Amino acid sequence: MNQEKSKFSWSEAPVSKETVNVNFDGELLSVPYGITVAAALLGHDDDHFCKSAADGEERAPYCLMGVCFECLVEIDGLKNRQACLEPVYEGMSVKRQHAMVEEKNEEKL
Amino acid sequence: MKKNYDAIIIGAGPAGLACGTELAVRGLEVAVLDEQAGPGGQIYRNITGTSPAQRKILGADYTDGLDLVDSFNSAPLDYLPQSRVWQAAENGDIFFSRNGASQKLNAPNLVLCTGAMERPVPFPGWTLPGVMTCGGMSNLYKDSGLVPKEPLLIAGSGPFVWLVAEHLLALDAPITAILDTTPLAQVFPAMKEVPGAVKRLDFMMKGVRLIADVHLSARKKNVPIYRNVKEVQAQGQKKLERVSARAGSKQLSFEVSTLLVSEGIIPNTSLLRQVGCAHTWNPVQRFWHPDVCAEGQTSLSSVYIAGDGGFVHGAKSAEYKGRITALHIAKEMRRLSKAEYDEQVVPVRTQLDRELFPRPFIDRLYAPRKDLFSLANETIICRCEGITAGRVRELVYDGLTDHNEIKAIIRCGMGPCQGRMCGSAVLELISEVSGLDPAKIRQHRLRPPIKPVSLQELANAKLGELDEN
Amino acid sequence: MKTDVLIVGGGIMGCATAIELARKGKSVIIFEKDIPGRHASGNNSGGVRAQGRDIREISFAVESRRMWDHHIKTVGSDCGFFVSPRLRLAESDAEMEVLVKRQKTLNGLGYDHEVVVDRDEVFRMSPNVAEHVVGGLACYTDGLANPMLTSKAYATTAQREGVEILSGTRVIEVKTTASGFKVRTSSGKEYEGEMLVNGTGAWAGRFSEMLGDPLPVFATAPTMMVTDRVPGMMNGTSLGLTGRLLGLMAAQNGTIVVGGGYRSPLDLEKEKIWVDPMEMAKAAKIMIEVLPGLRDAQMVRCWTAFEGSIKDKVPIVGESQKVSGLFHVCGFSAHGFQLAPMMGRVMSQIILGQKPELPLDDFRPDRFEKNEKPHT
Repeated sequence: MNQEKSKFSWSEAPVSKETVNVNFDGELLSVPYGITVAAALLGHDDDHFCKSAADGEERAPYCLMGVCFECLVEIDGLKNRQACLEPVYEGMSVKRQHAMVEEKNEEKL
Repeated sequence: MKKNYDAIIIGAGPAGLACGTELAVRGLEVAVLDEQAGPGGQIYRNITGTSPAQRKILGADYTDGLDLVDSFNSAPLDYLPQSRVWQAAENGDIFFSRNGASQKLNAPNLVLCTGAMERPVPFPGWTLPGVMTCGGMSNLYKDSGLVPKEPLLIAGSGPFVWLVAEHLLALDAPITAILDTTPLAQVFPAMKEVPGAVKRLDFMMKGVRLIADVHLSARKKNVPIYRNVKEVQAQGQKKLERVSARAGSKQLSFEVSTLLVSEGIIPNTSLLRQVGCAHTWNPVQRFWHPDVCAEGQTSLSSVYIAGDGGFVHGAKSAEYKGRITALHIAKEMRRLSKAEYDEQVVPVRTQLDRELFPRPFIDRLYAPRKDLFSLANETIICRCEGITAGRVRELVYDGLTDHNEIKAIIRCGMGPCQGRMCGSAVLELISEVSGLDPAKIRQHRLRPPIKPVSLQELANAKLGELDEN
Repeated sequence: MKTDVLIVGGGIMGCATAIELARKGKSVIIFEKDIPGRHASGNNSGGVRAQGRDIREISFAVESRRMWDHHIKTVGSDCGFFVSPRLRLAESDAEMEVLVKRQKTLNGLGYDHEVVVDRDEVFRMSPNVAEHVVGGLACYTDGLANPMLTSKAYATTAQREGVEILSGTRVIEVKTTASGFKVRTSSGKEYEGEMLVNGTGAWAGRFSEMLGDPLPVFATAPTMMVTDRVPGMMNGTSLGLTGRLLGLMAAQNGTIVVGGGYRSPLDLEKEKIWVDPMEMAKAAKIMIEVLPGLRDAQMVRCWTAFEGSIKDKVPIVGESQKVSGLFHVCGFSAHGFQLAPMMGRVMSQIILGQKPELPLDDFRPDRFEKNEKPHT
């Protein structure tokens, strides 16, 4: 697992011996099976997960238990997944969620 | 999975696990739904998946859950993990989302064991990536074994601060400092609860030992602990880069990429409010708690609450409350005679009473301090919609004191978290500006879905027949 | 101390009426059992719609629409109003015929605010609608506003004009006197007034019965839903359908407010409403059929409120024929919001004994007896 950009390390051997391959924004990651997507991403880099729908600011997990809605990512084409609640599986495709923010000015009349 | 059960339990933390197991072994048809992938809730998170090394760090308070989960796993009930309940009704209907599909179940008894969450307290910069709750860090570690390897700070008040500090110190995480925001004077009102608390001297000593151990360990590793800390601010361009604070007259500044905060635990009451349980304002905890009787009954005849969702009393209390509610329901459903119930409930009540002795002291000691919600105008209080404290104050100055009205006009609480993060702050701001007692300020109305549901899923949902009214 | 006009109900109709009366020099008290805007007035979909109105309401809607443009002057707030053309979609040729006929009828009556548009124009206005849409009927001047902001602006303006609003005050007894009415409230106080206005919304059936002039108003709970932000989906155009129930309002922040007639079960006595997820599911299905791109969108929350409805779907506005000095303005059946400014105007006119600017014959309180229809 590439950990250079992450501010976290796996404390000793990963929790599970098995690993799965997850595609994150085009990058292939090898992560321990069964951890949450949030953990997988935090263990990969310290970049944001999504942009705030209201003001476009970058956000990352805050509560890690499903109540803050700041860990929103797109998983296998489905948007607004709470990364802290979804366990990784082989072949999962994860994207940072930005789509909500691109508001066009033509919308306003 | 059936369509109808004798009881549906929502939440697989200690209360839900205990309740479900007790009901199932007495022959009732039980379903236990939980949004996590495995049983344990927050406190016993990933208990079946943590390594021996992790369990050593997390200690007996964590591994205590193993027996509970074992019993649960062998109990004859339907366990539905990864199920997000988005609506409950007082007629026993629950609507939930699982594997991209929404469905409906029904039972004459609903036991809501939705547990607790960290009290969300806004402060400058709290929305920056890198700011997390202590509980969140604990979850992350339990879940994956991840530990911060870059400098981090812990700031807050309450048991979670010391618990997480203990774990991270044992893991040699690079803690730059620990900031205790508990006001020094707070210990005095708590002192009057000491007589009750020392009935559980073991518990009190455990707490004292924890804090002492952290101090010792911190000193060994040159981690300073500051007391009476105020004005914590998170700073950075796009993510957390540094934290400033004040300890007495000393200005502090730390270059860190992770800030772990904790200001107490509150019940997670979204589902309880949506289904319509009555709540009462608790002025010490500064929170609306659901009205729950000794056996878990609420103001709605088919809805029970067990565990920290009713009041935060810890994992063991939650387990006992879950058991008591199960015994009560079993008696109501005639699987237990009154005599059997009376006999079986006594030892559990005794255990619960023991657990509760020290709570008034703990609650007072770590009660939210007066200035907890003294929010600068520019502080974002609604994370989802980017609403500042100042904006809320403007509306209250204009004469609006109803939470729903304010929500309807400036959108605080209209994002996906549905006010979970900003609810307390808005209420405190209304009270601050208007001078109204928070007990007089209605909570904002929570309508379903309590978690967003995709339109596709709703369109495909098999929700059964319309209930007659 | 006698007041000129006692108004029961602090919703938008009561407040609109109060403002007009106060500006004409009358003393007014509003009795509001909760707080102004608590029910339908403050919690509707925000649609400011002239399109699709019952013929009987159109003249009022057209005039009211003009008044919406002047809210900054009249109530000190723009009420969050913005223009969002409303496009009623035809999903088949048969439906298209219905729309063509509608425009013809309206033109015949001298109205041109609803215009038939072809498929090209539909897709220009709303590029993401489903391929099966064949055309539409557009009202380019319709819009949306913030119902809570509007209700509050009306209430605050009323107070500024000297109207006394007694919130948390329920009227529990009304007696007619030689010179008007004596009202007793839940606070134990009594008030005397020359005229009485019934603007009690969902409670108008009960309240009118108490007054001795029973009206067939029943309570309903119109239910709205809202999605998360779906930027670019609506292109600023709000949508309605012809053959089935759906209204999709394009909020400026990219969220979509869903309305159009979904109702939830309620208990007026207990003041409880239960949102029925079956209705949400039905709406979601239609939404995806009309805007396939919404498949990914989420429903974030619902809201609902008590509203007063009438079977023939037009409101009751006018002087009581049974009780002298009593006036009704209720039964707006989930489409009163846009009409409020004009309703306040005509109500003040008839209360002052003047001829209303626009005839109110279609809204007579005693129109039900004429038909001798049993009311449910």
